[in-house]
Formats: sequence, structure tokens, C-alpha cells
Amino acid sequence: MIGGYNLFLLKGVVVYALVALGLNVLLGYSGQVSLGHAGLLAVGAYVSAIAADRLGVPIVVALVLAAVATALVGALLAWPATRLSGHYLAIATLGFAIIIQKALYELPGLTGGRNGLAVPEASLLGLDLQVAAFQYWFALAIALLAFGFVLALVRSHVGRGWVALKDSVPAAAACGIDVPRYRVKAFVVSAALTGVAGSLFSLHVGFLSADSFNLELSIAFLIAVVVGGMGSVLGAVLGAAFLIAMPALLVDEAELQEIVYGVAIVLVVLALPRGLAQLAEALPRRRSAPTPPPQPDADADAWTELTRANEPPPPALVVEDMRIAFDGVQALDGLSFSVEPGQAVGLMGPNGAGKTTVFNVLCGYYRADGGTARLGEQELLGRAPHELARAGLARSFQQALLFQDLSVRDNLLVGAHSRFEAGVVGAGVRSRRSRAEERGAAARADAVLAVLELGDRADVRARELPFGQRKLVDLGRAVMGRPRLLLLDEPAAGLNSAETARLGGLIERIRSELGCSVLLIEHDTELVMGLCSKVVAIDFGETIATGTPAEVRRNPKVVEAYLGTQPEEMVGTDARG
Amino acid sequence: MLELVVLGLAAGSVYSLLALSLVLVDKTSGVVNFAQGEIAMFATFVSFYLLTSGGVAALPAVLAAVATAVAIALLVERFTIRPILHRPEAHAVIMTAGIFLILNAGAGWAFGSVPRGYPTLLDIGALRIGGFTIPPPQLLTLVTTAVLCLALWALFRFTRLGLAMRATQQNRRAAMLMGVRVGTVFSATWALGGVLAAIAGILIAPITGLSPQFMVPVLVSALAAAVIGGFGSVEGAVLGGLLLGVAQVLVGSYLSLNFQEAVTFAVIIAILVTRPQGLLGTTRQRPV
Repeated sequence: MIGGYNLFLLKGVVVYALVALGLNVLLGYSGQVSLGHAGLLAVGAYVSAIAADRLGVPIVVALVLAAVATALVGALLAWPATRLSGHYLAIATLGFAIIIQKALYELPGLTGGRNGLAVPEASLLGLDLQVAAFQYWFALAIALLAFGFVLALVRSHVGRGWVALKDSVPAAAACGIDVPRYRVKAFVVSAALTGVAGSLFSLHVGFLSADSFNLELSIAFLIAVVVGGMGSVLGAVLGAAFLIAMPALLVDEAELQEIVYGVAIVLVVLALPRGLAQLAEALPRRRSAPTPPPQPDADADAWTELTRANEPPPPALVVEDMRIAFDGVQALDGLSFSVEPGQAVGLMGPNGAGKTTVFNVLCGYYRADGGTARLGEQELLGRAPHELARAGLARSFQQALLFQDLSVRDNLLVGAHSRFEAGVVGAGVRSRRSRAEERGAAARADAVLAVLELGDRADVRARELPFGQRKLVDLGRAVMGRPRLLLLDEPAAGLNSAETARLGGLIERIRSELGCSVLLIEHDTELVMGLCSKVVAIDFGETIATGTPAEVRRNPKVVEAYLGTQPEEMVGTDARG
Repeated sequence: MLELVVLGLAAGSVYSLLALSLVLVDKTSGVVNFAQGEIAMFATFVSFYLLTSGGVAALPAVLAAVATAVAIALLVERFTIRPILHRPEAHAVIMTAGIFLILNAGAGWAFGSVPRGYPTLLDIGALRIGGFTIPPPQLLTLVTTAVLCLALWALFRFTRLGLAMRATQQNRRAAMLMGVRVGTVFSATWALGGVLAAIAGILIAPITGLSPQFMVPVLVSALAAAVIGGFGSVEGAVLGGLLLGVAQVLVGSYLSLNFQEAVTFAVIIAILVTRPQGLLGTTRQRPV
């Protein structure tokens, strides 16, 4: 059997791995820094110990209470977190942990203040948990459950949502992710895991002292996550093992240990940005079901799949008198236009005319100063981007704005985010609803991959794609959510003529077969002429012409806007848009 | 009460100096150096040993301290921060946390953790105002900070380096295209941060005593000061430090010392939630 000291170390690894797991969910997945997890651990430990001591509850109940209490504290801490990121968040969490530590001192009646708190003995099903081996197995069992839950969670739409908001907040919001709420969810899950760890920690050490839950401990957890590997569940275990094993293996002096930790952080961040788990990535990766080779009818099958769950025909979009000013510059000045149901409308104008601003206002990134935009009966203005995604809006971005750390397939799956109803718990326990939703989305993603002819790149990380393919994935992502109105921002920018022609065909087919309306910002006149039945030309934030593409092209005001001159003044020129 | 305010201003001016170093570095390279306090601590220790064991006079000891801080800052910036600037901000936060650990534990191992007294370097005497006296350490702090702020202002306003720094802060890419050596600006800014940090350490050590941990609460307060003033604002850092110093002293006297730190942070969090740009910072609406 394992010796006493090694068993003690193992127990420590289990507890720290749980905290690292929690912190990883927060930092590795949703990209939020916390310098205060020692405070959360303290909450879990003290709640568990006090519940067992004062209320006499059995250990499992104390554990649940600890998880719930810490989750609540996490939600509280998350409140400032929704508006902060990076170093601001680090500071806020640091402050939080300090406040918790002070509170522990100032409530001696409850926590023993400076004298500390003895953790009462616990037993489970007749087994004395003071016996190290029993305690170890208990902790391990809890940890395995927790790891299973988190693994399922990070592979679900929730986990994808976290990575998405870390990589690109605007794109995540456009896909229907309520970014602030998801940030809070990450905090709550992270805190709950840390609370469970806190309860196990209290058993492990037997005596709680407020001093031990200090900044150095918070940094230690950060070390475990970074060295182990951010965004990797395995990394939590590796990092915890590193944290516990290093001092035991190398040196005895506390200060030298800390120096080793510090050096380890520096080296790992420099050389192994994805931590020790990066080394494990060299092993062959588990792939999702292999994409079958394209068959003759694959294209038709794909379109059948995509149109399978078609919505009724979309309503009209009517924009009236839209206004917005930035620092005194009137970017949109009473803009009005409409898109009939199922129509493709081109939005044209010289640079700086306000075209992307129209999109940003329609999609909820900017708040208009005046005007209305109605999609059927619904007013679009004043609503948040993720709500608009649910209302049937989808957009593509000039810069593609893909989620760099996700695969192509996962990028597409995020596009369907607004269609997922399962919550965190459902996703974590892989409920029937969650699994059904995942299957449905996966089928749709496969269809989109087939249509885009990107089936062989499905598992490639988005950051490794060439630009032309990124734009395609961006388009595919927008289609995943079954939109009623598709807003495309210069989809052909950066594409060569062959790619552009193919893109035009795709967009036309999307419009006609999926039955959505299209609003297109595009400079490529051929594309606009081919796709759009109506063109709206704008300049200085106002509509200057509306009509068929041919009419608008010849319109003297449009020519003047682009070329700055009257057509008659140009010798032998056919007015070009 | 006035006496408390003045004492608060003295402590606050040290926070201002350290906050300044944080904000300057952040504005230029986009990184908050959580190890700034430890750099100050190391530098102060160096001066301490020179003053006591080495029998060195005050000025050379201070210069040696400043040089130490500058050296550490330059090494850290060049070899651990610059390579990861393009990565997400979290990486830099963690990197500086690692540097924090190395310096903190290194000092403990090299110098021992027993606190000791640190002499006031310049006896410019005490100052009598109204009914009370400002003690020499506090007076020195106030005067030094004022002089340094003035020097910084002049640096930014009148020198080419200052101009290059401001340009890099506002638009790094444009500055590069205009021929500004951005790498040099990074190094210079971090070095400047080191100078301010070293002086902050030397100024506050006589008041708090010298130990490997002595700068940790000062850093925490400097972070708070930067947040109050608005992280993007140099004037804000100074203002935030002074306000915080006064607030802390008042809370400490009228409520309790233990609450001091907690109240500080409660205020910080409240500001971060309601007005993250602080008093003098600006909000930016980011287009897609």
C-alpha cells in the first residue's frame, strides 16, 4: 500500500486538482483571470467545517452546502466581472479575496478568528474519514464525478460558448451568447468546484487558519492552471501534481520552492503557452465521427438537411430615420430603407458612408440616437446582440472574426448557439435534451461543411485557416442559426474572382432555399449586380439612391459620391459604381 | 484632523509614485506589472545593505537602488514580457505573478524575513504648520513626489523620448510607422517605472520598516489608486494615490485598522463596477 506521506501528497493533489479545474474553467475556457481563488477555497472550507461543527450535518451535506455557498459568493464576485477583464478583473478578484480574509479574522465567534478552527471528525457510511486511505478514496470519488461533469460541460455548447466569448466577444454575441451571463456562469461553476475542494481541503488539513488563504495561495493555483495547461481538463491534474510534487521532490526550504514556482511560471508561459498538457497533445487526438467522403448526392443531401427545419418566410425589414452620432460626427443621419421578405438588398456607398455602422446598430452593438428598425412586428433597436440572434438576425464580419482556438466544426456549432435550450446542469450531466440538441446541431454542421466543401478541414483550428476559407466559415456560422435576416459585411473582401463567383452562388442558394432575406454590404459590383434585386446607396449616413442595381449605378448622385465628380465632366466614361 | 490629512497625503504620495509606474508601463506596453512592488523592495534592500554594512553615503546608495530597479525592470521587460505581448492579457498577468514570486521568495532567501528599520535618508527637518509638525520622513516624501511629478511632466512635454512615449501609448502601430523605436520606448518606460518604484520604496521604508513583504500592501494600494484615478490616466494615478492615502488614514483612525484594507477594496470594487474608467480615465466605445 502507499505510504503515509505519499498518501498525504496524493490527497493534496486531488484537492488542488479540483481547485485547478475550477480555475481552469474560469481562466482557461472563459478567459477570466482570478487572483482570488484562495478566498473561494476559504469559503468552502469554513462553510463545510462550520456546518459540520455547529449544525452537525454529515460530510456529504457539508460538502453540498460548501459548494452552494461558494457558488453564491462566486456569483457575487462575478457581478463586477461582467464589465471587467484582464488586469481590472485580476485586481477586483484580488480585493475580494482580501476582504474574505479580513472577514474571517473579524468573526471570531464563527470562524475562530486568529485562533483558527478545528475541523470536526467526519465519517461516511460507517467509515472513519480521519483514516487517510478512506479520505483519499472519498476525495477521489468526488473529484472523478466533478471531472466527469466538467468534461461533459466543456464539450457542450456551454463550453464552446465560453471559448467563443474569450476569443471574440462581438462574434459570440452575434451567435446568441449572452456574454455577461455566460461570464457569470463560468464564475459560478468555478466557485462551486472550488467550494467542493474547500470542503475536502478542510478534511485534509484538519485545522483551518485564515492566514493560509492568502495571495500566495491564489498565485499557486494560477501556477497550477498555467503550468498544467489552460483550457485543458487534463492540465488541471498535471498542474496540481506539479504544485504538490515539486517541493517534495526538489527542495525543502519554502523560499526556494517559491522561486522554483516562479521560474516554472516564467518558463512555461514563455515556451509552453498551453502548458504541460501541450506535450500530451502530441498524442493522436480523439476525433469526432469521421466525415464520410463526398458522394454524388452529398450536396443535395446537405441542402435537404439544411432546409429540413426551415422557418416560415421571413418578415420584411423596415428601417426608418436611423440616427447615430459619435463625438459630434453624425454617422447616420436619418437613414431609411427596407428589405422585402426573401429579398437580397445591397448596401453600397463610399468608405465612411456608414454602412458598417448600419450593421452595428441593427445588430445591437451601438445604441441609435433615433429612428426605428422593424423586422415584421419586432422592433430591433435597443436590444442586445444575443437577443437579436434569437430573433432571427445573423451576420458575417469583414474580418471573419472566427473563434481562433476552436475547430472549424466547433465554430459552426457556436453559430447554432441560440437554438440550445439545455442549461449548465443539463449539459454537464449530458441530459437527454442536451444530447439531442448536440446531435441536431452536429448534423446541421456537417451539412454546412458539405455545402462549403470544407469537410476535410472540420477539425482544423480556425487560426490555421487561410483567409478565403475563414470567410466561408464565417458565412457558414451565420447560416447555422437558421436566420431570417442575414447581414453580410463585405463577404467578398479579400477573395479572388473564382472564390467570389462561388460565394455568389452560395449566397443565392442560401437565400432561395433557406428562405432568408439578405442585406449585403459589398464593393464588388459584379457580385451585387448578380445577387441583389435592390440596391440602397448611402453617403454621409443618408440614403442617396434606391432602385435596381442598374438604376443605382447610373444615378448621378451615386457617381458623384464615389468619384466626386459629375458624369458629364468625365470624358467618354461609362458611369461605374 | 488636518494632521491626519497631511499624513494621509504623505502615504498617498508614495502610492501615487508606484501607481504612476504602473500606469506608465500599462499605457505603453499594455501590461500591468504586478511585480512592481517587489522590484521596489529589492532595490530598497540593496540600498539598505550599502548604507548599513557598506558605509556608503545616502546619494550613492539611492543611485545604486535605482540602478538595481532599472536593471531588473529592463531584464523582465525584454526577456519575459516583450515575447508575449501579442498573447492574451491573462498571460502577461500570470507572467508578472511569476516574477512576483521569484523576487519575493528570492528576497526572503537572500535577505531573511526579519523586519528591520530603515533610516530616513535626507534630514530636511520637520515642518511646522499651524499647530502640528510634519515629521521628516513624511515631509521628504511629499517634497520628493512633487519634484518627481514635475520632472515627469517636463519629460513628457519637452523631450523627444517623452514624445515617443506618448505616441506609442496612443497608437503603437502608427508610432512604429513614424520611425519610433517602439522597443526602445518599452525599455525606457519600464526603466522609468523602475526608477519611480525604487524611490517609492526608499521613501516608505522608514515609515513601515523593511522586510521582503513590506511593499505588498503598498502595491495593493497603488493598484487601487490607479483604478480610482482611471488606469489610462497619469494625472489620475497621482490623484488616486493622494485620495486613497487620505481616505485610508481617516478610516484607520475613525474606524479600525483592520477595516482599512477591506474598505479600500470595497471602494475599489464599487468603482470598478460603476465607473471603471475611474475619475479621470475615458471610456472607449469599441466598434466591431
